[in-house]
Amino acid sequence: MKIEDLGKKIDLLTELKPNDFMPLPYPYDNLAGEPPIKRLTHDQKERYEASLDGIVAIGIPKPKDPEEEEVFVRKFLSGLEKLLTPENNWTFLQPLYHSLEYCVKCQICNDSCPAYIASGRKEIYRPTYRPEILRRIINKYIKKKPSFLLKLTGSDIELNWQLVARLGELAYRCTLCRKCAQVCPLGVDNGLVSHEIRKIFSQELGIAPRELHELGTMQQLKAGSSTGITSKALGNIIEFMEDEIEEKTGKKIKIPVDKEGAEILLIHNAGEFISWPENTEAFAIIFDAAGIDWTLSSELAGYDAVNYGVWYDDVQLARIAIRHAEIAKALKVKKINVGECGHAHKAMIVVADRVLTGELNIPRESALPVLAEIVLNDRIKLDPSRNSFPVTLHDPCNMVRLMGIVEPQRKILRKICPQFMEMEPHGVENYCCGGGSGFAIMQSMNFPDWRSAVSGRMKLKQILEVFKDVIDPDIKKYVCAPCSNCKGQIRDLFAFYNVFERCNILYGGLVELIVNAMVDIKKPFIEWEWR
Amino acid sequence: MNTFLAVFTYLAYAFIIVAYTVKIIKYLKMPIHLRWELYPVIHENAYHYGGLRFESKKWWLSPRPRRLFRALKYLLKDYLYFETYLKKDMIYWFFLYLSHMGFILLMFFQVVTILGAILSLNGIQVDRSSPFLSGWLVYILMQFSGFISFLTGIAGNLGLFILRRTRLDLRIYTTPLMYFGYWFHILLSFAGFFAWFYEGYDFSWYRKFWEGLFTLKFTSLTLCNAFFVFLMALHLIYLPFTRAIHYITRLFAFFMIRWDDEPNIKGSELEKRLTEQLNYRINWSAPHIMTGKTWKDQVQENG
Repeated sequence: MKIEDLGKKIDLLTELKPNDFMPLPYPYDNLAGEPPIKRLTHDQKERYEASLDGIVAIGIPKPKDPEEEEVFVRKFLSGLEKLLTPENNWTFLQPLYHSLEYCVKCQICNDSCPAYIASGRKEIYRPTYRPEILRRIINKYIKKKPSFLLKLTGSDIELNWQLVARLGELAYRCTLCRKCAQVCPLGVDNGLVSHEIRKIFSQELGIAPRELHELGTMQQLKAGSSTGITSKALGNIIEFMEDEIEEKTGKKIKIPVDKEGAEILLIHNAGEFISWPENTEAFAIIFDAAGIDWTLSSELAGYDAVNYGVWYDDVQLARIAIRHAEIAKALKVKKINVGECGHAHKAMIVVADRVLTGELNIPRESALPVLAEIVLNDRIKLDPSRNSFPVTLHDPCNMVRLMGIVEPQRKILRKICPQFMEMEPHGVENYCCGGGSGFAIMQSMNFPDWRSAVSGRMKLKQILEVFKDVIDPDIKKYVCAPCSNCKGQIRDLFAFYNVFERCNILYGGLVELIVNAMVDIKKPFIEWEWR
Repeated sequence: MNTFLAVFTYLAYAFIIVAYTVKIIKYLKMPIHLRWELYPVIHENAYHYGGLRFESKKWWLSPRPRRLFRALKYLLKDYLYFETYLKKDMIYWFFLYLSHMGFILLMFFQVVTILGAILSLNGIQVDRSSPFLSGWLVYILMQFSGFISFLTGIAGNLGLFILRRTRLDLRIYTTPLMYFGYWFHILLSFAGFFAWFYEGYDFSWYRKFWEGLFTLKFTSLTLCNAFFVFLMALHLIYLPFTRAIHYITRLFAFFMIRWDDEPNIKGSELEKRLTEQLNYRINWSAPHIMTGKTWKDQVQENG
């Protein structure tokens, strides 16, 4: 396959065949038994661009006529031009410039990409592929280099709407885990290029996965949460949580909401309230037992830490970050504490740091060091024998590789889980769960199958390898994933491969394990059932 | 001919200095970007596994650590023996190392030659029997760096060319300009090698050529030497069209992007710059963006 093939007018550029996929360990070592990736219907193929690899992540509608095709290409070029200007893209211009200008295409980064390896090394997923396409388009259509220079720099690429649409889809085959960037000796970040391509589509063409934009950031800013939970609904959820805590633990806890002047404003990924309420309940139980002065917020967007803007749109990123800071300021809290959500950590604590100026620059920290301090200083009584089952830890990329938070979660697990074992590689060299950069919530057509079979495959391999000596389904096992999106991905990954039934591996957060070990709670907090 | 080569060399040096200065200024003058660091961040207290700052409660109260020496040591490891390549792809590393050794020693050869010319013009004898240590050392270094540079330049670039042609993952990403680069280096190295072989092993003719450039009394060169001088100058003109400046931009990328964890502190110079940038006007035209308004205005609205 050649680079310029991305614009080829064919029905399918790359076919995904299970036989090409990276093999998995026992009991998934027979590729013939691989669950199939759903094929798109004829109608879906007719309506949406699906010729990259037969998968649809965004759902770019096919243009009706050549005129629409031309408008589409023109808008893309106009967006690309803006991407290279300081006014429109001061946010990432320098890192983008570096990655476009100084990659020597040595391919040293290739083996770091879990999607590329898992797919059986499909060319289109190679970390250097997307940047090379973008580089060639820039040379020819933005810098307008003369034709002899284009030939010399290998930039003679023909732009058509197929190429642009496939490039848009391709930006959603990279989880932005940035493991490729980590190994580059020249400081090139090919993951960032995917991020920047997504921005052209969102900020110029108005095209982004529905779950990230319309149901994500837009809904969060208008209704309060990407889950659709309104302030009023939050009240009911909190009542439900208080009842359930009492039922499960016998503890009567009043969850503080909108408490002015509290030490900590705790913001969860609102997906926890719906899919894993035991996580938010566990936080309430721990903070209550440790005597932490904390509060939740019921303000619009104040109860949802997610900031999907960090994956596809800088304007949306800034809007949500500012909203979070304004809420904390109005509540006069001392700091914001982010619950078990990786991308919210990265967006709120790190990336947004440079849009929060003046009084909005409120201290923001991760929940993990706070939890570690509680557990390691024995501020609550814990009995590790209650967690006497094999436990492994998934490192969310956003917390670990992108923030350096490696040890607090491990210190907790070493103290409360006697059978804690590490996956390889782990820490800053971890592999993405396969649901990073919004994939975990994207449910478009057959995309969820792709993220299980391809982008999540390396994580499944790691989990099966770490548990290989205890893989017997009679032995309970637990994957601790202190991140909502990672949990969502692991849930879907396990469901796709039937992992809970075949291997008895459950997944969940960190706080659930802490509460499960609390001596003053009689019943096990972790209910060993599939969710 | 002699005058042409002299003028061409002057121009080549002027060109590379201007071109690299423009490139560096362009890089450094770009706006402050959002934080996008990657861990381990070298100056962090726990850099051996990641970082300590965000692992600490109230991290914003502790000063940001600075460890320039550790950072330079880390970068130097890759400069000296390309540690990442050595670990991940030994065959590629071998030829890459040779070719870079060829390039670095070629630059070094230039520097010591110029130094030799300056010493000689100041009355210091530059040869094997020089009573001055500096003269003797420069003489030895010129021979050593020149010879090794030509040898490694040929082997390394030829090896890389073959790898790039035969390995599919490299071939489809290699541009004609990159192939040209390999052959150009091979040709230059051969020219140097022949000059060394036929015109005396000590390169005294090249030092004298440089003395002539300083005194404006241009020396005459044999065809073989003239060809080498011409290619050396052409090489300098060619370099700004390649990614060779990555020797420098790599430093920028590590210090200004990968390890840039400078927090935005109230009242700081950084905050001042960011506030200015938030006043930039946006021209993005998606429906949720208010085209023509500033970043500051945008973020006050919900799209």
